[in-house]
Amino acid sequence: MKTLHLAHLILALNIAMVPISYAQQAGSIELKNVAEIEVKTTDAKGKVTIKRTPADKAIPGTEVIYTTTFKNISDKPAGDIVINNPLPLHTTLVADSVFGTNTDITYSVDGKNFATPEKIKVKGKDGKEVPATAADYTHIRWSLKGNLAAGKSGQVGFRAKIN
Amino acid sequence: MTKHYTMKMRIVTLLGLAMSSLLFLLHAPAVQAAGTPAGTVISNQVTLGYIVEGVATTTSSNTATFTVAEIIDVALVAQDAAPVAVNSPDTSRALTMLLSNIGNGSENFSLIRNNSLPGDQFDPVTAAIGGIFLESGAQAGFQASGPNADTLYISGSNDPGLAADTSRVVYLVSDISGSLALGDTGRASLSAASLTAGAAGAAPGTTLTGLGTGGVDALVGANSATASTTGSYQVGGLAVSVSKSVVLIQDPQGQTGSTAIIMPGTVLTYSITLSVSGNGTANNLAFNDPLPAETNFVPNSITVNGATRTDAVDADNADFTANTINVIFGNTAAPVTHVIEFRVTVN
Repeated sequence: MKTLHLAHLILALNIAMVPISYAQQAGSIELKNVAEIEVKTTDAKGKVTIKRTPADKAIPGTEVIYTTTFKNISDKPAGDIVINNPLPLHTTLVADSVFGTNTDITYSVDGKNFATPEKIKVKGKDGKEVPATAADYTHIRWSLKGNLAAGKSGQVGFRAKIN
Repeated sequence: MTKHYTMKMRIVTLLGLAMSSLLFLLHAPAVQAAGTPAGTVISNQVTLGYIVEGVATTTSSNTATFTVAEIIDVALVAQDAAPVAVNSPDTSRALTMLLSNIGNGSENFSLIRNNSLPGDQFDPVTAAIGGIFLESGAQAGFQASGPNADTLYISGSNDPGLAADTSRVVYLVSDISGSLALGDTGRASLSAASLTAGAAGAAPGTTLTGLGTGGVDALVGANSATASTTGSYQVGGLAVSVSKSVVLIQDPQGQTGSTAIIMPGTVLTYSITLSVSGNGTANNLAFNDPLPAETNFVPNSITVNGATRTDAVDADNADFTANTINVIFGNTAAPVTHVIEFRVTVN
């Protein structure tokens, strides 16, 4: 039964990496993250169709659409849902592209302090504080208003341009 | 009896022709930055915290990843601020171009020149020493030989390879044929093409599967993985010419002009026209004319542009020293013409 032993070992390692209290409730919410790009095609009549395809490879300058889908797969309502997305390295958030129905959206330029855009400042070249722009953001946080009922799902996301 | 007298004449210390074309821009116009290197894996993982029945839990999503593909893009920009001034004929004159890899992966490029462009008065000739040189990096500017010599480009042998976002200076080296008119221009172009199979000339956006840096896919950039730039030569950016003639002969019998006889005692009036043409400044321009032994200088006979000059080395710009006529013009902006006259007697 060597195989079984190995399986147990892997499971044990997984648990060890997650605090015990979380592991007990794991599985109530299913979380999926997808990166897509838009592909433009023009048919014989000149009609342009934009189709989303999974981002497999892309060149600098391409806009990548990140969509996070969350679903309450338990039979109980889930509250205080907070989604954190550390923006991928080598990309820049596209201004006004962040979406998330029924959520409060805040941003961070350091991964620690989150606030609404008008309250986030960064130091300019002269050392003085200036309002942060989308390009300064390093993290996005969505806080769902109210509870997510059993079986329900939601989506949040944004666009980022490859540097 | 007719004697022919020859006078040795030379222009010395014609230093440092101030030609604007010797200056060239150190920086190419801004080109698009290469961006994230080809082959970079971009990943994103989301975490979600929630509370069910009073128990806080955090869960993580899958990691969405993709690889940055290579974009093949090249730029060539002529660096000479003005046409390069040349003589006719001339040899091994360089036009300076900057080859830049503006893609995000490493690429090798082939280079080719074209001498037969429309819109000029002559075709530069691929130089006998070679038509394309690569900057060796040892010393800025074109060096044909010596310890800092630049590298002769041989297609298929030393095609320049450039990492993303790097540049290399390339020289288009030409010989200039003779008998061209002052002001004539000759244009030549340099073209570069990516050596990635199928890239050069392909439609922008063409995917070359697995042919990018490190085996990623490569996409052909907006200029079809090729680039071209043109430079030009101009004949006689600055030229100094001298003509000398005898304008008056007077023999001891009082005969003048064509009836005068060249004999001892005959007085010859020489006129020298010194012209600086084109554009620029001839620095430290000076005229020296050593007289031959068969003649004697007539004292105080020097005139410059019609005004008399003394023979002494003094405030005026002419003197007669050591049997030599000297006229100093200093830094002389073109175009200008000076006429120097003086008299000698035949021994």
